[in-house]
Amino acid sequence: MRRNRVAFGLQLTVTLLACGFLIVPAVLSVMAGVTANYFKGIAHGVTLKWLFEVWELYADSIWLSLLIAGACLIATLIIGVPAAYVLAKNPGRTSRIIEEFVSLPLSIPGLALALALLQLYGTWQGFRLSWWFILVGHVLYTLPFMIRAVLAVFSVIDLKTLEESAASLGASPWRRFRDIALPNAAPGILAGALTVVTLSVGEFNLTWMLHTPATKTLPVGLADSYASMRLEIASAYTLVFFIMILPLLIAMQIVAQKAQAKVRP
Amino acid sequence: MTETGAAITLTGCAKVFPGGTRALHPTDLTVAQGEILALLGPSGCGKTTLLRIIAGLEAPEAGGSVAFDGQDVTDLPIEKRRIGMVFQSYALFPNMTVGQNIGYALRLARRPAAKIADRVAEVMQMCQITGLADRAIDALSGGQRQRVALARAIAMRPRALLLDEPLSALDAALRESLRDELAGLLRDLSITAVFVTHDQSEAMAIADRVAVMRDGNILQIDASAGDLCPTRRRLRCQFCRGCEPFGRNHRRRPPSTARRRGAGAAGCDRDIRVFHPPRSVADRSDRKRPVDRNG
Repeated sequence: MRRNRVAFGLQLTVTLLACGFLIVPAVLSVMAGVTANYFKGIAHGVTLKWLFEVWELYADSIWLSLLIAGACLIATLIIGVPAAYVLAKNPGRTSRIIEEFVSLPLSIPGLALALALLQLYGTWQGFRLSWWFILVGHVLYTLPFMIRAVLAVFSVIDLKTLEESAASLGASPWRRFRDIALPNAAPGILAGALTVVTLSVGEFNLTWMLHTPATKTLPVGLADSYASMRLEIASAYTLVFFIMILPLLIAMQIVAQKAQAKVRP
Repeated sequence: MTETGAAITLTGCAKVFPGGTRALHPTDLTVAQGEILALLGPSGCGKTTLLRIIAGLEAPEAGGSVAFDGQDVTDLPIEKRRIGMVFQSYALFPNMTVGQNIGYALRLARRPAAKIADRVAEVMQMCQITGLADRAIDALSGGQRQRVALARAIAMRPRALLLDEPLSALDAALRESLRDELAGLLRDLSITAVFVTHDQSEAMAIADRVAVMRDGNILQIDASAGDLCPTRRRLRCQFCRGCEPFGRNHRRRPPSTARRRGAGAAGCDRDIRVFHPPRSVADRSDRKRPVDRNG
């Protein structure tokens, strides 16, 4: 009994230490964002001033990030869902190779990918300077996540037999896709969509290389504020970031749990 | 209650799968209008391939043709053949309720909503699943799923009903009772039906004629409706003799020998059990096996 209690105490300590190690920096950063004067400490006053200042300075970046994330979601849905559908319907070596190719951008550092994009499109001035250029990078980077998520659902539901039975009832290829494949892939599509939005909002590597002063996204703005603003503003910025990304992460967890519950009835 | 069925004629239908596996040797087969034909054989004998060629899920090799009531449908995709199909796994749509599953074909055909509702209620009554219309698919038992699959397949009044091991996913007791019910229903519908099975008692109980298959060939087609007993005896003997289920050379055997063996059939009963593993074991191994295209 006594031994058990000691073991439990040790485990608890280690767990708490690990949690503290992960959480304390985030908490400190958030606290710095609402501190009136960081050098005097939080005891000397709490304020939302910095949050408003962040909004004033970086509202454009926040909106741009949301715009790019939304556009990126639409693009990955339009490309990724049909692509996953075709890959699921034609299991074979060619499909495997294509799947690996699609996932290739994940194994290359974002910087390298950005360099490749710059080399290819750098001379197209209009395109290079617009946010579409960043969108292309984000789509390249997030597409494999959408395809993988949808493909995973398709492989669980025995798509082939379901489609054959729909066909025997008179469904054309389009109706099979619309009535059978899409609704049954919904959990995967939702999970993929949340991943894509979260990744796009938080993407820094690629975006930092591709951005212009006029096309700063949320994380690029964050780096910028740390480099050139008061620490309090940068910290308040982190707080804004948390507020935007946390609901997405929580939604992702819930969806993933629901999808798993569905797989094991 | 009576449906209209079509006569099915297969001419020279063969199938070679990519990789060179010959699943089916060139085969001729005629199923009369309203007839119930069983394709019986061990897994890998080509019976499912044959069924899928009739359905339009596989195309026969060049030279083969499929005709419904004399009309060539070889190049018609499955969705235009107007057949009903019951799959081994039932393949019910998990995103639809029972009623929506059954009415799906009618909705595709753009029937008016009232007519769809009437027909759905009618087939649900035939299959004895009245009251389940709003159930979700994953809230159904195995037997109920089987009935829903059947109801869905006949809702459109198809020209032919094709059943791929319709009872093999059920447990033994349920299988027996559903077998008789299925036989009764098919006869009431007087619909042309082809069903695939590896269980000869099932074939005997349901079919008017039984085609015994092995290694991609139809070895024999036997018995018109009233002539089941002799076939049953002969088949039984083939199943049990020396635990060699389908004697390769039985066709070459002189008729007198066949008769003599047939006469001794009563004594074979015990041997059948030797050849057939106990039902429950057979069931389990059957369910675990992925749907095989050659089977």
